Amino acid sequence: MIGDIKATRSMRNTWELLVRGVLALSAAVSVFSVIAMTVFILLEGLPLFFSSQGPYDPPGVFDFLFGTEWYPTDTVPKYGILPFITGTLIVTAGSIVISVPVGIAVGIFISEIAKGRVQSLLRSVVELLAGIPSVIYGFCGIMLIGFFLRHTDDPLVNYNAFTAMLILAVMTLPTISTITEVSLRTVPRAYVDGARALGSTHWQTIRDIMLPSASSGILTGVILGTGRAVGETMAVLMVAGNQPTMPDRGIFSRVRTLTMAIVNDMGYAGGDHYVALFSIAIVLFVFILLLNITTQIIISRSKNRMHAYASN
Amino acid sequence: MNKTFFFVIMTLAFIPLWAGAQGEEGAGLRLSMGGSTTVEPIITSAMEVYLAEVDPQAELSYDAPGSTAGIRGVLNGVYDLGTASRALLLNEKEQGAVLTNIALDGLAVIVHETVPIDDISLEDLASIYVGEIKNWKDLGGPDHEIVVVNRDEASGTLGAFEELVLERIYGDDGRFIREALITESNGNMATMVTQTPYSIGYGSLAIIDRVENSGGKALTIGGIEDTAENVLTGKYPIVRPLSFVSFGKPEGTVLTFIEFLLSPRGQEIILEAKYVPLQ
Repeated sequence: MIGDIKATRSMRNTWELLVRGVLALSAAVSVFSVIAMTVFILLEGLPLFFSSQGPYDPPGVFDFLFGTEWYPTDTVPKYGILPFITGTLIVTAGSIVISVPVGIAVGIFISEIAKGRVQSLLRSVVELLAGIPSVIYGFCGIMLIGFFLRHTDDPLVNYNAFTAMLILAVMTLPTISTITEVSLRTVPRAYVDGARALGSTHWQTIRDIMLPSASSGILTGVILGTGRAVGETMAVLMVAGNQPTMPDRGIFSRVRTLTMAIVNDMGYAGGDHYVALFSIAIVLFVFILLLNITTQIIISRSKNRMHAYASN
Repeated sequence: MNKTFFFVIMTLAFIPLWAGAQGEEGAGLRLSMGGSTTVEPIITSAMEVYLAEVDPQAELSYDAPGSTAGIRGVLNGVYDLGTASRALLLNEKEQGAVLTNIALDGLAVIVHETVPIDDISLEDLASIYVGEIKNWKDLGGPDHEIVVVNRDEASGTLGAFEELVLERIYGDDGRFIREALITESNGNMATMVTQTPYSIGYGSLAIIDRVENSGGKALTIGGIEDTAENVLTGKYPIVRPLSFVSFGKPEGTVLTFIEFLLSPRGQEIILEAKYVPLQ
């Protein structure tokens, strides 16, 4: 009898250890992947600035980041990626300008106004939106462009940054609205009740109490959405026009973003050109890193504030 | 419950390994191929026919990142066999790439339905693509900017167009205009040009049907139409071969598949794909 219990106990312990081991291993794999990729990108991309594989000087970091000419296959190649950086910034900023107000509005609606079946239906629709593969967004973008070009004389929706913005706005919307909704739901009930007890209307409570206290969460959502927009490749590749020059018509320019530049040249690039693609990857990596650090700062600040409230 | 779930997951995780081990036993022809987007329709149907009629055990694959990538892939050992829609560059030859032609193709120049022109000279075509002619009115059309659609740098079609149009008129000075829409496959070219008003583009003979079905048209060049007959007789001015690329002289499994495409059945497939067989 006692032996039986012991046996089960040791089996349980073994099981416990096994599960712990598997979990730790999974964690280690993800950490290792990040480190390995960082090292790999740096090792492959940095040599561009130190040695060239042809009879010409390696480009300086400044020339690389702020050069406006991308002629990677010339005998004396030019690797200026400012057009791609500008393209990425235009497309990302534009999409965020559209998706932030709409996304927050959708989040508020789902969390505070919609009830019952409407609420759960809307929630699953937004989740579905997040799950659609980006190539399908791109495909819909092409159809949209086709429609506009057939039916209007001087269309805004063409192969350009503006269309890419519209598509990216729809793609980033679920991130922003879902996180807005979740943050609104975590606003302490006491705040809301207090505001209502003092005579605030529903909208006043949302605007003056709930939104400010959920702001750090919402901001995190916005930044995650931005990260998605910066990194998106397939959908923008299909609609943004892919022209490797400085945008010359504002948001209606045909643009190539950083991710598009990598995908576009990856298949055939050789020598320094290939290295330059990894250097572009470093730039993208830094972009994403900055966004993540910002998120971390916001989250830790809001935690501090919470502690401050709690201790008061 | 959790335990069961865990074991199910672990078992599922091992299925691919087991399936992989099963695959090793297949005895048929095994080839990984890749390259030109223009040649893709030929190889795709050739693979189907080969599996159905010649060797049901065969394991064949093809991806289409473009001719340049196909040639590089063969040289790096990524592909057993590549395809290209352009001639080899000198350094590619030096590294051991060898072409075997399987079909001919006449590069079609296509325009959107808003372009009222039916014929263009090789000189004017080159001028458009280097950016010297920028408005349709210079060619007797409406006063509207020409929307140039070009291919990506990995494209063999771009390489062939550069060699057969730009360099023929401008020599080595011929450089593509930068203000252009860039599309990454032969098929997508048809979509983009038929969608975009006042646009011009180019692609293989095989896309003409699609272009015409969507309202666009192919221009004649110096009065010569892009037809199989004019391509074969060499009357049409922009003709290029479509080829297989092998590392060194083709032999073994690679040769088997090349010979299949050069056989009467293979050439029939090429005809069905709307390209021009060698004979």
